[in-house]
Amino acid sequence: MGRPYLGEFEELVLLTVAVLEGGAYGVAIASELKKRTDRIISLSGVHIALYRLEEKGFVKSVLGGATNERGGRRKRLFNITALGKRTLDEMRDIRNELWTSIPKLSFS
Amino acid sequence: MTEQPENSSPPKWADKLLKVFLPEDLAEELQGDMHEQFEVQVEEMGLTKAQWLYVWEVLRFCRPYFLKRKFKKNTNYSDPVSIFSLIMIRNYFKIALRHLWQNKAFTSINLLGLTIGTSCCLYMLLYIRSQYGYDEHHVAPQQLYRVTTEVTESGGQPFAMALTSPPIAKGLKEDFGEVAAVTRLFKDPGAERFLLKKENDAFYETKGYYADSSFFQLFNYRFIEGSPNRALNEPLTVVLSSKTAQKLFGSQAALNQSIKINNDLYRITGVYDDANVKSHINAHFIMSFKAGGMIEYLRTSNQWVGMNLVNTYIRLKPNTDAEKLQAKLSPFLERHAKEQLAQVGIRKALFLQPVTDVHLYSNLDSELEKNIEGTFIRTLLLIAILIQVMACINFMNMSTARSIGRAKEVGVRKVMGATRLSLAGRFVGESVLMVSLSILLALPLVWLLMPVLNSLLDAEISITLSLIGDLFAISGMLIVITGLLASIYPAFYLSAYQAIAVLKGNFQNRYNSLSIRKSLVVAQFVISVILLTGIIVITRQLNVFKNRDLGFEQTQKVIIPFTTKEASIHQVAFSNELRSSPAVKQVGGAAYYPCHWLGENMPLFYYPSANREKIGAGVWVNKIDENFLSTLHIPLIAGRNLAPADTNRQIIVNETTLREFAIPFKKAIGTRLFLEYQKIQEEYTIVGVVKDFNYRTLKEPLRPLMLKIAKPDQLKYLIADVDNVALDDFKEQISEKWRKLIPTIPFESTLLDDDIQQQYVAENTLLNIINSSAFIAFLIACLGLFGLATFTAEQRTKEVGIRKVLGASVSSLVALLSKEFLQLVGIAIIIAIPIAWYALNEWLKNFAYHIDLEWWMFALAGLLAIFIALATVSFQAIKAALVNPVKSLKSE
Repeated sequence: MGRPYLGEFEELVLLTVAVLEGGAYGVAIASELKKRTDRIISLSGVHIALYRLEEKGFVKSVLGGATNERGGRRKRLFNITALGKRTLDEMRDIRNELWTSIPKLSFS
Repeated sequence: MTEQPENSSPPKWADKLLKVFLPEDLAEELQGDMHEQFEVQVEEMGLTKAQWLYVWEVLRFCRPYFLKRKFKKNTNYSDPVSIFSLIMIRNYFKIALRHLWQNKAFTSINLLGLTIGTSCCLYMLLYIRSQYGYDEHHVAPQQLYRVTTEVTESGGQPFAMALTSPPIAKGLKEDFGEVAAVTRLFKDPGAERFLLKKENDAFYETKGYYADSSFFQLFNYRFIEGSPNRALNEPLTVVLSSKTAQKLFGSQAALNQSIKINNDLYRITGVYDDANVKSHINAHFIMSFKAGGMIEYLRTSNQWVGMNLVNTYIRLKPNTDAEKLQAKLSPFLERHAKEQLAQVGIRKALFLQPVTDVHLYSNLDSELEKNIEGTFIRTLLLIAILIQVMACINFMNMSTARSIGRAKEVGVRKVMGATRLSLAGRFVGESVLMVSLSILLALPLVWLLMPVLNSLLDAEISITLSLIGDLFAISGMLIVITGLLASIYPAFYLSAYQAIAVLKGNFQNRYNSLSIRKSLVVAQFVISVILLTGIIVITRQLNVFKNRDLGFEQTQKVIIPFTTKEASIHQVAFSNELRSSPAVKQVGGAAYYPCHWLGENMPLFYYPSANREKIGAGVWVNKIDENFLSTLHIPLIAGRNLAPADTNRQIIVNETTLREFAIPFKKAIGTRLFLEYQKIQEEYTIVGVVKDFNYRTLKEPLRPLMLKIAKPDQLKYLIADVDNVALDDFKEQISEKWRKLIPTIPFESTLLDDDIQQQYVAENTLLNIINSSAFIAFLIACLGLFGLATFTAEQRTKEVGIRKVLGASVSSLVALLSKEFLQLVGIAIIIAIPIAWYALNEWLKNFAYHIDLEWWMFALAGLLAIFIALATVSFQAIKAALVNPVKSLKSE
């Protein structure tokens, strides 16, 4: 595989960024993940995943405008890139392929 | 969120701790997220729990990822980029080019000035370079020396000449073990040109010398034909330079061919390559010294004191100290020539001169060729440097004057972290870029102007392949030196700006820069005014040479030389032919003619009365026919003219001779002068006195002269006094007559006034150089002034507008804007005058007949400078003053 490695948690974060569609930033992603997975999600973990995804080119980010909330501090908003989308597609295809290759009787 | 109490904030210490963990660039957004989550959690689970959770979350930020990123940031970005990194250099160039492009007017003024200066410099340096390296092609040239002579007549000044007496060479070889080889070279002073004849082909050739057979052992040339070893051993053999061989034989072999030189048949024993060879000898052909007749007499002469006619060269053995040998020369002469010296009553000294120094440093009497003068080279170098410095000054002034614009840039760069050194480097780089551009422009310019420049300097430089190396070296040197010179001051001046002060709009060191700028402008005008005065004085001095009454008529005189016996036989017939032409008023003959006076100098004595000491003086001798004086309109003021019946003991002298011997004018006729020589006393009787006339150059004072009647074969020249007719036509007519009478020999003639002007070639060259360099200097200075005036006018647009609104007239505004510059020019004139006065006075001392420096020359130069400066400045001043104040003031 030519593209960088994508960890399980990273994949979840990337998917969440895609889900949130432009509104993705640390807190939003963390609460979304918490809601959907019922895992304990630490903010620092989410951020590390985001920065690594950015370094790998799967997401891109912009600093949003200052708001009156959070003491006037700006948010970093993340967006999925074309590469990120393609990677997610590829991973789903591989999974689907694998799923279809499993002999039917083992599951059901 | 609105119902949150004010104090519902995360613990301060945890926040601080968070900052420790986080990289700076992420702190804001992460802290923001943390606080946002904290607020949510406060709402969900209360303040205390939220605070605990907050602390826990903070601690979890203490992770390798963030710490590593923080650490990496430190190494990556707080380390400044090296000023010499490729990125920065590229940036410097980009900014420099943008800056140049943005200020097209100033760029072109700078570039124009620098290009002119650089072209000038480049050519002069090429010329100077070409004057070095003479006689370096011989084997071990540092062992070659020329023996020179200094003669002191009793009570007279020492007289240094390049020639020596004939036996000295042989004596040196025999007496001193350290002398490896000797040779002599003889240039016949009476034979400027030789007639070379090959079958029916004949032409005149100059620079034919006689040399001992050892000549090519000392001086090494590459022989194309024959061999240098035995080339000049036999009598009547000749070695040709490749150029002469080319003229005579084209591409055919010349070896062992026979040619006729003047009256004798010579065999060619060699051809040497003289292309790309620089030597002070520069012969066209070299004949064996064994040539018979007077030449043979000279060769074998045992005259140790007189007959100073040959060039003597020696080659020392390796590791010989020339100075030690020179110390032994005085006893050597004493040993051989004691008796003869006592008889003639003069003192004589010999000196050794390195052959490699001859072309550059030697300027003795009777040099083979006119050598370059050290002062000339130095003057040239000085002018080249001055012009380049002036161009640099323009660059400096323009950079500092416009520094306000650049100051902001400097400020911003400093804020961004540039060091002073990197900024200075940037400005230096910018000027190096400018100079390189100007060199790129100058190279083709010099190449194009080469013929013009060569004619100015009377030089023969062409851009050949061998010169490319020099050209590159000189260009490189110019780029570095000029680049640094032009930029050092602006670089340090500009980079010294304090970022805060600049960005606030304060310039503390403006005053400082203004005064330096002013002094630089003054310096430029000092140079210009000096050169301008130079033009005036040198032109006046040359006019003296041109227009001074020489004591004879120099216009409409045609000189016809007779170099061979073959021609001389027909001299009388030809002179009769000339006389029959209606245009010819008179025809005279002489051994030498004025300004071509190579003749003998005789030591004569006069015995005033029995009880008084005899008076001695060197007297120049010329042999003339009875028509010489009337042809040149030289008035006889006492006695009679010479007649064909006179012997060579009846003489006519000039007034100076009478003065020198203290003979009263009234008693002059019949007075006898004596030549005393080795116990022989010859007696000469004065039969006539002529008014003084300048028979040699005006650079020297007039010396005593005696005229004797010539035997028919001694008349080397006929001089025809021609009516006011077109001389070209006249020459054509007489050449026709010559062809009929003497068909085997080509006809040649010159004009007396042309020949006289030939003596002042060096001065004319100097005038040309001063003229053109003064012009260039002025151009550059004015360019600079123009630039500064433009800048000032720009700066003061608002001031002018306000003054105009308040009722100032255009003329008062022009005066206001020009005044400052004119003051500078005024100061420059005051400084320049004493310098110019001193330098020109020194120069004028070279000449026996010279003009006096007068105040009006300086005044004229000063007025010219003021006028030109005014014209330059007022253009901008008037432009600024005419601007409608509405335009200049409406923007605020």
